[in-house]
Amino acid sequence: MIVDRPSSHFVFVVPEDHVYRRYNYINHDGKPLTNKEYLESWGKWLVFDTAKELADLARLLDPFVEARDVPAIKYDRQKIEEFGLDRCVMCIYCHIARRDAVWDILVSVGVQQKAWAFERETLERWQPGGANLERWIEGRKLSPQQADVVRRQAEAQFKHLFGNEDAIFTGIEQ
Amino acid sequence: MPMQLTVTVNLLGMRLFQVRRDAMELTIDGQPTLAQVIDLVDDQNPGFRQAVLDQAGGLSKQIAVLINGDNAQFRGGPNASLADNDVINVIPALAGG
Repeated sequence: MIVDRPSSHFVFVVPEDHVYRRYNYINHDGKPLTNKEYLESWGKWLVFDTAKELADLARLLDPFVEARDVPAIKYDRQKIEEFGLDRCVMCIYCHIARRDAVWDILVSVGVQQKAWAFERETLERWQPGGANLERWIEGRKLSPQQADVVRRQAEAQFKHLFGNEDAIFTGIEQ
Repeated sequence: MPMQLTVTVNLLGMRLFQVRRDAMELTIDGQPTLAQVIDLVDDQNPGFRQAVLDQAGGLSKQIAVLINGDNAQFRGGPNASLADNDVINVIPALAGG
């Protein structure tokens, strides 16, 4: 189902069971991933387009999400100007073992350009020195002291989330 | 007669430099590396090389270069060798965060 809350920058496409019955779509063959497995094997196909085209694509992909052939999708409601993007981005999430099968689904609905990223690559970019975090700090014109606080918080949050490799991954609030 | 390879380059969602051509099909002699393709793309999109490479000549953290969908960093960065019909997609690294 499409979860479109105007207060959020992102629009999500997740199984109805996730919304109403706490189904964990971050799994492989039905087994929830540990933090270690998540960092090693969870990723996303990226699609670039206008907000309208991505909304249309989300509607086409919704049945595949409901059938659990595609685990989950997230896309920008509007462009993130400060990130230097001239289009909106859609992330189509899956386990690396399902990557080719999910790509075939994307091709069937008209996606052409292949761009895959592991979640660990994204998380690294939100660590101190990473491109995303440093751009975020720069965009908010933080003082050096404030920036250091933000960097320490980012580092601490990562340790809190992934410190126990064998714990089931519980998600990142967005 | 030298072998020729054709690779396709797409610049997706870029605003870090002035994109003049966002889709290119390049025919190159021999066994090209990604670095050679970056030079050819720069000829058609001045500023591309500077945006894609860091000061040490590696791939910039601001940009993700994908060869057939996979991050070129895992294939040797600028030294990655290319094959006929490879598709190189270049995206802002910040995308999908």
